[in-house]
Amino acid sequence: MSAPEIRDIRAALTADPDVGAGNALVKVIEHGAALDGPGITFDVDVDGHPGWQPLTLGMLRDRVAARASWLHSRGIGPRDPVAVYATSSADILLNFMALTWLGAIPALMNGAISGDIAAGYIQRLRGTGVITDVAHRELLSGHDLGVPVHDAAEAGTGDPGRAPAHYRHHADDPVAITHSSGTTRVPAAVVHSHSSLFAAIRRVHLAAARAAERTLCVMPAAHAAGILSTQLALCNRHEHLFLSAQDGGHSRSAAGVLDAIERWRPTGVYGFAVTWSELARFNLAERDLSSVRMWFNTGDCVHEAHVRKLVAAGSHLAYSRDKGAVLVPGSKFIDGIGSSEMGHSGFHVTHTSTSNRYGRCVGKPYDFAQITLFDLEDGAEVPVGKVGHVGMKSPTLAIGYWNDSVATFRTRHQGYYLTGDLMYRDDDGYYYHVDRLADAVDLGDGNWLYTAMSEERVLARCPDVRDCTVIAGRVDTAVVTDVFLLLAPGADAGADHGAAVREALGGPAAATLRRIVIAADGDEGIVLGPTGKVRKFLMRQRHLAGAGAP
Amino acid sequence: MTATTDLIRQFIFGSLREMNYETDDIDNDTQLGPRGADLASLALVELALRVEDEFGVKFSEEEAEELAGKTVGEFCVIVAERLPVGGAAERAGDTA
Repeated sequence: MSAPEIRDIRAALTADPDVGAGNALVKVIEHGAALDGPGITFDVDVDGHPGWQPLTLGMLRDRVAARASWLHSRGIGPRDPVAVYATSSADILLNFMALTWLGAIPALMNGAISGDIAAGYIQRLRGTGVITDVAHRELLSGHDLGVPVHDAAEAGTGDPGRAPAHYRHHADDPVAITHSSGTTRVPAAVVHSHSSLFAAIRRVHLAAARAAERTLCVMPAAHAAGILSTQLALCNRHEHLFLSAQDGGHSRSAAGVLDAIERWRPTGVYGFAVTWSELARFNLAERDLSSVRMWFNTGDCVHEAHVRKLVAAGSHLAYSRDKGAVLVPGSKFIDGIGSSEMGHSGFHVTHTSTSNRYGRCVGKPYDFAQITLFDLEDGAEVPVGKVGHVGMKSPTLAIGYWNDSVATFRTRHQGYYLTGDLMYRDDDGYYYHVDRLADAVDLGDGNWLYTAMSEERVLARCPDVRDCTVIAGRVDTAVVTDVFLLLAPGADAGADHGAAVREALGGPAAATLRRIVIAADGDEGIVLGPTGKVRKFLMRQRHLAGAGAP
Repeated sequence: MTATTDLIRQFIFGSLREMNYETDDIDNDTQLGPRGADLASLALVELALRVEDEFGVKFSEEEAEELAGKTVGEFCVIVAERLPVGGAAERAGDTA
């Protein structure tokens, strides 16, 4: 497809107010994208089409229409909430598009959720069906879900020609339910609208300079970010490979990610923070990552120690008068803190091998977002340099929690959505993330222990530590803090980290340090959620409330 | 300022031609990104690097990414405002 054609498609999508997350696929085709152009590439077989072989746009439409036809014949239609609980990115994304084709509301579930939690989540949806693969159907066996369970593979056998006309979405229509990562609580069901889940693509990604990108998504597909990366690629006509959870899930997938980069040769890689942490286990200089010019993170803010390894790999464009424009070593890393509820990254900061803005700096808000840091004691905005609760107004915001008005309205303040993050800002307008509200501990006298910022400081002081988790809470009347260290390959397990950890925690917080635990990979002491995020809520229960003995 | 921005504009147009872009339909009010000249991402980076090299100015990564939304005229003003004091216009004049 020529540059003018791509330009025309992007302009038409931008100008069309009816385009949204529920119909991006058919709108891209309606506005002139060639059917033999890029659709999506999966690493698994799709209805007999081999994995790693690109699905063209036309093939993608047919595979989606086949599912829409099959699901329609089972009585699924507009406003029906239907859960999707499967492993492969193809099962998740194709059924997402098929369900929105019908005007139904796909509730995408991370396949790493346990059967018991999944069953409870499905029951609370009060939906009209569940689509699963074989493995997840077994996980749900024995649970009374109260709705039909459909087979994901069978859904692909529908006749694309018998799919009904695509549903006509209104901007406010719900088009997806995704769930939070469950880092601090049981996953919450977050509802996105047709316009909210497309707002950032319209305002940011379709307004950015055109690029012949070849992207790789290593995020779990069943999250808002998975949908966004796919629609972004379709609208910008990028070649896009969506990896499925492999090798024991996304929290242990770094080897699979490196293999995929060498095989797919992407210019951009999308991932969650856990992927960058896992990649830090490897000597990246030994792998061929030269194709990568950009790493894009969303979800949690990333630690400097992990970013520095990545920006030393890959390549970027440099210019000199004698050589002209040439690719040279070193990539850029775009850190975009965000969440399901925020509907997209709310902030962005770009790191390179020569940049030096770290210390959990999350950059500045995107132009579409209005951010205010609140003191919730008096409801007022905090001054520069003081930590406050992040309030966000944005067209990307989720419209609420499914079947949970209590949570929907508890997280609203003066017209803002409270993200649950604690940040401060500096004189230049840069924001710094210190912790999640649920993880921070008030030490009294105006002192706080911020676990995420403490982890950043430990990692910055201890090059032999690959990753770190700080857990703090009250045991009886006293605050105690446990620090879990995952050591880098080859590090001395007997080394004393006490002084560095106490220095990282700082004065009053250092006095609460109870123990430092050298953890091993796969250690059951480190509790991970389905996206690979550490579940500090459960770790507090396990290590602080339950076990008094060090 | 006007004479300086004229020199910067001449350099930008010359660079675009060297980069094999048609400049006949581009004027001061044309955006560099998809709503105007539609420079590809790498071309935009190369243009920024050429301007940095020529005029001794510097753009942050975020600024370089946001150039797509700037017009040619706005880009010239941004560069002019950052020119090192003394010698900048002369340098520009050398290559104009």
